[in-house]
Amino acid sequence: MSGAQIGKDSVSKDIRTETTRPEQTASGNVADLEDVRAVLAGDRERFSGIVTRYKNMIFDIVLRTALAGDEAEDLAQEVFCRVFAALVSFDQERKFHTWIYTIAVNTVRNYNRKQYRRNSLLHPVANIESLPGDRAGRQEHRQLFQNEVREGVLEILAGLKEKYRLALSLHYFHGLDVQEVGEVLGLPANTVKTHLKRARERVSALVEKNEKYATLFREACIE
Amino acid sequence: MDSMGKKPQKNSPEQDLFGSFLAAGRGMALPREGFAGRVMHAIRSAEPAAAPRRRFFPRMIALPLAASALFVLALVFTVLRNGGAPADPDLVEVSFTLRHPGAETIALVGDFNRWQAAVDTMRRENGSWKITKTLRKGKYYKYAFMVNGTRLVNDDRADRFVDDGFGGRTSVMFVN
Repeated sequence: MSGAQIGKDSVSKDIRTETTRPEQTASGNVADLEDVRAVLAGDRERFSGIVTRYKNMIFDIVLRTALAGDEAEDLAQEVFCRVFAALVSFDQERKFHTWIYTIAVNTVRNYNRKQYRRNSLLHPVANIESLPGDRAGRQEHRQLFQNEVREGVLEILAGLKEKYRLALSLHYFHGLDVQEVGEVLGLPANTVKTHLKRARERVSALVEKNEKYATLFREACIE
Repeated sequence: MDSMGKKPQKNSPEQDLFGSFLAAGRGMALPREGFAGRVMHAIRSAEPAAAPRRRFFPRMIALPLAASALFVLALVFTVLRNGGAPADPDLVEVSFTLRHPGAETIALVGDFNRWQAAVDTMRRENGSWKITKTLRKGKYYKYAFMVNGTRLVNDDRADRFVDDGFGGRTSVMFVN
């Protein structure tokens, strides 16, 4: 564990992770806009640039928030299809990455609504590609351990209300600031802060309640 | 006290629990290899982003007349084809079936319809989706099922699978 302080949002920024989101540099934004314009001009192959830059990010947010299990990848693909279909309506004055997050979140909400109606929440562990670090050469028990940790994280996320799960994932795992999370979720910043506070409390309570996961997470931090 | 003379802050138990959860949850997973290719495959089959095709006809002045004429022509063509002269011996009817009770729409896409999802919409029968196509004998056809207009699914019962050129695989059928 980083040992960073966790508490108020101003402090907790230290421990946000930004491993899944493409760097939002000026050149990154330019590349997005260039691809958007090229696709709108009829060159749909240029959409591959967008897919390449955002595939990990979209897959990750879908995996964490839709709890779609083996369907996570299908859902991520659906997000890209929706992005493609809606590209014509993209306001090029907006940040592309928050716009694409908005579409992902709406897709997740639709999915969760349907799942709720079906009353059949899938097991949250997806058939996912292992992390690069888990590939050949690592011990099998380490992979099993990592899988167990992932299962635990998804299990905890599944215990949150959707609105808290979304806010927490966007802020802490995807590195969006409170304003950006509000923009994506269509909420005022203060509401986002409240959601984050409740999410932290709920996660802590769930981890504390389940000694197995508390131990697992501590061990994962040490590794 | 640290070297700066500040008292080190200690996390509360709640903060430690949440912090360990966050640290453990970093870098959860990546999509499988070929994901980008599969997405682009679906994008290539999708309707153009700004295609206004459905709006074209309502704007025509002679819409009712044109629509009626088209309908009659299609009807005559269908009747003649089904009840007329024997079919080309090189053609054969091939049935495609996909079991997918949860789908809302499924279309068959492939080389035979230039991967256009709007051409061969499958019909639902007791949780399975079916369509019959007339195809030319002695040819290999690449194909897939487009589920809910967004997702391409391969046919488990395909004769074989080949690289789709975009990092994924696609079903292949030999018609004989």
